[in-house]
Amino acid sequence: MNHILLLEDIPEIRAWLKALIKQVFANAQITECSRVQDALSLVNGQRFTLALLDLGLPDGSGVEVIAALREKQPEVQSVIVTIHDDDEHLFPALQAGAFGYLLKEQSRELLVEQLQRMSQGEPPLSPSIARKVIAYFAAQAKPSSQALLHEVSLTDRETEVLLRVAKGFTLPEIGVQLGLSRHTIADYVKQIYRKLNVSSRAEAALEAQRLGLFGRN
Amino acid sequence: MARRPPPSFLLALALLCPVAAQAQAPTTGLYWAATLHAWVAAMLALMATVVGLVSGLHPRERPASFLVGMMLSWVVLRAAAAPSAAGLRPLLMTLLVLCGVQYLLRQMNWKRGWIDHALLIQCLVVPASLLWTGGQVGILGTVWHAVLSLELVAAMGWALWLRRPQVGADEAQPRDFGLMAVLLLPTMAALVAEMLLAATSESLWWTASPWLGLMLPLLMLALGLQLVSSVAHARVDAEKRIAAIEQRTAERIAEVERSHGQLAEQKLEQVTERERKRIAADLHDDLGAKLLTIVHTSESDRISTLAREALEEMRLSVRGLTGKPVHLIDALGDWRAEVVSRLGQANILAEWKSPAEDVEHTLQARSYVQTTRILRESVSNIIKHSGATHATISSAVQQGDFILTIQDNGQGIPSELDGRLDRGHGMASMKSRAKQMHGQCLVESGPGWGTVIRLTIPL
Repeated sequence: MNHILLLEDIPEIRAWLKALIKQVFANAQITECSRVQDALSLVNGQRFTLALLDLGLPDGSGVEVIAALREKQPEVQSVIVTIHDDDEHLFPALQAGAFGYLLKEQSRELLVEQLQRMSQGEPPLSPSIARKVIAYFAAQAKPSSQALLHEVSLTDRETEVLLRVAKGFTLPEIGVQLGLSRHTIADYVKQIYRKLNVSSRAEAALEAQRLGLFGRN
Repeated sequence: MARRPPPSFLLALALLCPVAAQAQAPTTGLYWAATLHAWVAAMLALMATVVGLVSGLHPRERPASFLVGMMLSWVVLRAAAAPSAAGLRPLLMTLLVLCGVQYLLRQMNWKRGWIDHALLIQCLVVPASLLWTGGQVGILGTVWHAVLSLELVAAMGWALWLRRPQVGADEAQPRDFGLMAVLLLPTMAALVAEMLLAATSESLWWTASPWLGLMLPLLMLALGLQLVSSVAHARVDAEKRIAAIEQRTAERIAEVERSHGQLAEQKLEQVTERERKRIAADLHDDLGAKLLTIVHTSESDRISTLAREALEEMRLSVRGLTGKPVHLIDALGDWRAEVVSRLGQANILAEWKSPAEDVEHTLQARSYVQTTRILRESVSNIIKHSGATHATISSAVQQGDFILTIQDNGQGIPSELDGRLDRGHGMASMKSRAKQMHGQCLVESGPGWGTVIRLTIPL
């Protein structure tokens, strides 16, 4: 049975999201909370299958919960539910290990469809996020960056998918263009998100080491 | 030694000279030589005054006081031609040699203690020995004369040697050396020639000696002129240097001002950026959250649609407020993804045509936002009102303009709406948005023909 963590501070929106989840996962057990601290302690105590997390909360950011889930329950799919559609807010969450994102003001039908797709392993990918991912890996591939990070790099096919998304092609269109099934394209996108997370974590670890957070260098 | 002799005294000496010289020289040639000597002596007296002033005023020109001494010794030597002053002549001659040698060597910064002492001792020994032996006519006088002449020749030779051009020196050095060689070599030759003549042929010596003797005072005049001109040059150089320093200072100040201006601009930019971000965050967190609550809790579809539109508007406004310029190619990607997926959801076949070549233009954040609104509104109209089954969106860059054409095969705008092309179609606001970007938005429509919206904005 699905056990879903829902983190949202506005009661009305939380109730609405709960209804939305019920529509997609009829038998799901939903655990609600409205603060980052509560969510973190829940993550420590209970097992979840899916987490819907708001980004801007009174006592912090949902990104902290994504990172905690990534560490303690890596099999959980973290989905950001946010009002911020800009990549400045979404990209750090994806780097922290989010599986996808939902934009709050979209119509219920669209959100239901997107949530269903995500639960079937088809994460969304917007052109601006695709561009940001391309730029991120291009910067990592530079000879000046740390050698360790080179181990995580995109394949030609993954880059091809990203470039096409950046040009505004939808994932089904790209599937047709490349002669690949919808499922295969979705796998590429998942792989891209996973690599983004792994590379970002390696980068963060190196940065921490450089700053001497681990005592000696 | 007298660095600044009273000019009147010197002038008197100089005027006396021709008379003294005339008495000594019966033949015409000798007369002219004597006259020339007198004039040269007068000029030397004047030059000595000038050089004396220069060396007195400029601590760096101290060695020139030796040149003054040399000149004055010569002038007084000429004036003391009378037999009564014969006792003074050896002293004057040794003084002249002392000053000459010191000037030539010190000019090259070549200084030796033993030479200073030797020259001073010589000033005592020569006159004393001559006085002791009685007069300068004897063999001792000739010997001393030769020794003193040789000392001068040696000093000149050494000075020239010190001045020889070094390898890799600047171009001024060889020119200097050439000038000194032209001045010193004839004088050296004249001094040596006079000695040789005195030793070999006395009659020839009598005729040539006055002419050869002119070389030394002429050299002194030339050295004096050289000194004065070098001081003048130094002043020109100093003025040039001051001008260069002033220019450099001005440049430095301009640079500092420029970088200060840049810094202030950067600071302003940072503050503005921070303030914009704060406003954006406030809008998102407060207004956005409230609108969102309305969107998802309102019983009325119309109100929740309005709230959703208000939310989209708010987000675009924030983007226009905080956004950086957008690459047109990126904007086209964003628009394509949105338009194709929206039309697809409405079961309208979308055809998107982008410019074939890679466009490198950028759009201002505001232009991007306004174009997004116009495009969004057009697509909404197609979905809600047109009844179209097919839509073509094509974009092009032509002569510095960005042109976006949105065409559908729907029923067109009903004719009763013509004239007041609005009523929820948002045509008026689309047109005013185009105007805000200094562009235009044309709408062509006929019943059954579909609608074409043509947006043109300058890049």
